[in-house]
Amino acid sequence: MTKRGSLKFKVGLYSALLTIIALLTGAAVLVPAVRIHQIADLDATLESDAHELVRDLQNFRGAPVDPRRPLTLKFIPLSLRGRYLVVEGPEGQTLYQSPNLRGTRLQTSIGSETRELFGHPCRLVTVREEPYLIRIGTRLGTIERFQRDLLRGIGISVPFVAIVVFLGGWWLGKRAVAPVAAITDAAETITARSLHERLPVPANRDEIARLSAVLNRTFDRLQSSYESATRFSADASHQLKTPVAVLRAGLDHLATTAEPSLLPEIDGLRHQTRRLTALIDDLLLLAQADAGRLHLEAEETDLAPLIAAGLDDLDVLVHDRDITVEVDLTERLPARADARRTRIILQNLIENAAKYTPDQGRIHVSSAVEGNEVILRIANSGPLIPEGDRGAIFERFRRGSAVGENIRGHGLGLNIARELARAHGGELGYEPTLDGLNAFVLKLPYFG
Amino acid sequence: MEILLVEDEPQLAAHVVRAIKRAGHGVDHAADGPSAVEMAVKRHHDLLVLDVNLPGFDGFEVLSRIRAAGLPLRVLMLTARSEVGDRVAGLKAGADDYLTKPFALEELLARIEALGRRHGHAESGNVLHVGDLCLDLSKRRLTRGGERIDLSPRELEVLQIFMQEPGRTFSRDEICERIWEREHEYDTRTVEIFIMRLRKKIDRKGVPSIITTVRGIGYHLEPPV
Repeated sequence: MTKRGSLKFKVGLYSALLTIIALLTGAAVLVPAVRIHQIADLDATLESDAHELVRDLQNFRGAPVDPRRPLTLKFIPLSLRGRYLVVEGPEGQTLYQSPNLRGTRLQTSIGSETRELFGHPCRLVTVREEPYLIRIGTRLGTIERFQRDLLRGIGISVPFVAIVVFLGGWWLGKRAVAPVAAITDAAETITARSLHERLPVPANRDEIARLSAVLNRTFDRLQSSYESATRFSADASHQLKTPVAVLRAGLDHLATTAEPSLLPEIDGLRHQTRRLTALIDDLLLLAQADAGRLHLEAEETDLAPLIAAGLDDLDVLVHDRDITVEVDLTERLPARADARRTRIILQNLIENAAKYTPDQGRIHVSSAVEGNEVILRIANSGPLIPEGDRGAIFERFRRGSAVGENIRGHGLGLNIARELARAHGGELGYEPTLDGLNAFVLKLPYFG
Repeated sequence: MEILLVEDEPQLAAHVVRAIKRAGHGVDHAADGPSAVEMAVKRHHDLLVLDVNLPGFDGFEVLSRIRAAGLPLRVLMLTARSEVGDRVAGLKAGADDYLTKPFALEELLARIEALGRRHGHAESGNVLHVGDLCLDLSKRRLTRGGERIDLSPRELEVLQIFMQEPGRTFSRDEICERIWEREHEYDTRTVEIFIMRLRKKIDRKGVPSIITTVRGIGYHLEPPV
C-alpha cells in the first residue's frame, strides 16, 4: 500500500509535476517560435509571389506591359488569384485590385504586417519593385489551425504524460527506497536483546552502503555504552549490597547470641537493612529506566489475581481504620506485562491509597478493558491534589505537601510505578473522579 | 553435609561459615574463582554456595568449569542483583537455587537444608501435605481433614511458605521478603495480621494453634503429631 507521505509517492508526484511544468514551458516557447517561423516562411512566399508577378508583367507574351495601363485579370498568374492583391503604378495609381478585397483600400507601408480583414487575421506584404508597388496578402488560416492543433495536442497529452511519469517516478522511487526499507526492517530487529547484530553492508559504494556503515558504527557505540551501563548496574549492585549483606549477616549472628532484651533493637536494625536494600533496588531500577534499558519479561499476565492480592494487602493496611473499600473489578484482566514489575506498581498504588485516605474515607478500585488497553483505577477520598501539584506527585522524592513528614516512605513509589508502566508501553496518570476522589489510572497493553 | 563457600567479602564469609558450622555442617571457604575450582575438584563437597562477583573469574565461570569437570555437587548461587536476567543465567548455567543479597542467615541455612533433602527425592509437585492439611497449589485450594477452607491470596501464600518447610522457623522479615519481594511500607505488622487471620481460619476450637509463635524470632508450622 502506498502511503501518501511515502517517499515513492512523493518521487512520483514531484516527477509528474516537473514534467507538466517542463511540457508547459516547452509549449510556451515552442508555439510562438513555430508561429514566427511559419509567418517568416509565409512572408518569403508572398514576396516571391510579388517578384514573380512583376517579372511576368515585364515579360508578358514577350514584351513588357505598359506600367500606366490598368491591369485586367488575365495579367494575374493563376497561382496568385486566391491572394489579396493590389498593384499600383509609378504615380501611385491603382492598376489592379483583386475582387476578393471587395473594394477595400489597403493602406500598407513597405514591409510586412498582420492585419484583420473581413474578420480574419491576414498577412500582408508590400513590395516596391519598380515601376510597380505590389500589396499582396493572404489569410493566416493554415497557421492558426496549426497553432490550435499544436496547443490541443499538448493539452491532451499532459495528463497522459503526467500519469505515465508519476507511475515511472513511483516505480523508480520504490526501487531507490527498497534498500532503505530493508535497512529500516533490519534496524528494527536490532533491539536491546540483539545489540550484537549488524546491518548487511552492500558491496557497492553507493549512498545505501554508506548509510548502513554509518548505522553500524552507531550500533557499535550503542552496544558498548549499553554494555558498560549494564556492567555499571551490576557492579553498583554488588558494591552497594555486599556491605548490607555483611551488616545483615552480622545482625543475624548477633541475634543468636545476644540477650533477649536486645532482640527488639537488633530486629529494628535488621529491618533497616531491608529498607536500605529496597532503596538500592529502587534507585538501580530508576537508573535503568533513565538509561532506557529496563528489561521486562512481558508476557500474557492476568492482572486479576495480582489485584486480588493487592486488595488483600489493602484490607490489612486499613484494618484498624474506618475506611470503606469498594471494588468493581472485571473477572479477567489479561495484559501484556511483566508480573513481577506489575506487582511493584500495584503495591505502590495500594500503599499510596492506604496512606492518603483519611479516616471515614473510602477507596474505590475498578478495572476495565478499553480498546487495546486494560485499565485499573484506584481512587481514594481525601483533599484533592491541587491542580498545580498533579505533575509533581510523580517526581522523585516528592510526597503530598499537605501530609507532612509523619508518613513513611522514601517518596519514590509513584515515580517508580510510572516508569514501570511506561516501560510496558502503558501509562500511569492522576485524574480526579466526578465524585471528587483522587484517582490513579494505570493503563497497560491488553493481551488478546 | 560438606559445603564449599565461595565469597570474596571476608566478613560476610566469616558470618556465613560460622552459621553453617553451627548448623552442623562441614565448610571450606574460597575467596576467588580459580581457588574455588581447585578446591571443588580436590575435595568432594556436597554443596557449593557460590557468589557471582568474584576476583579471578566470576561465579558463572566457576559453575561452568565445575560442570565441565563432571562434579555432581549441588549449587546455590548468591547474587547481588534481583534481576531476572541473573537468576535465569544462573539456573541455565546449572545452579540449583539462588538467593539475592542481602539475605537472612536463617534463609540461607534453610535453602542449604532444602538442597540437601532434594538429593534423591523429587519435588512433591503441586500438592503439599502437612498432617491433615492439604494445599493444592494449582487449584489454590486448602482442605483440612477433607473440609474446604477458603483463604485470601496472601493467607494462602503465607501458609504455603510454612507448609513447604514444616517445622522451620520463619522470621517476620523473611516472610515479608518472600511475599512482597521488597520492603513493605507497613513492615512486619502486616505479617502478624495475616497470620492471625490464617489461624482463625485453619485452627480448631479447643486445640492449640498449629502455627506457633517463637518468641523474638518468628513463627513455625507445628506438624500435628
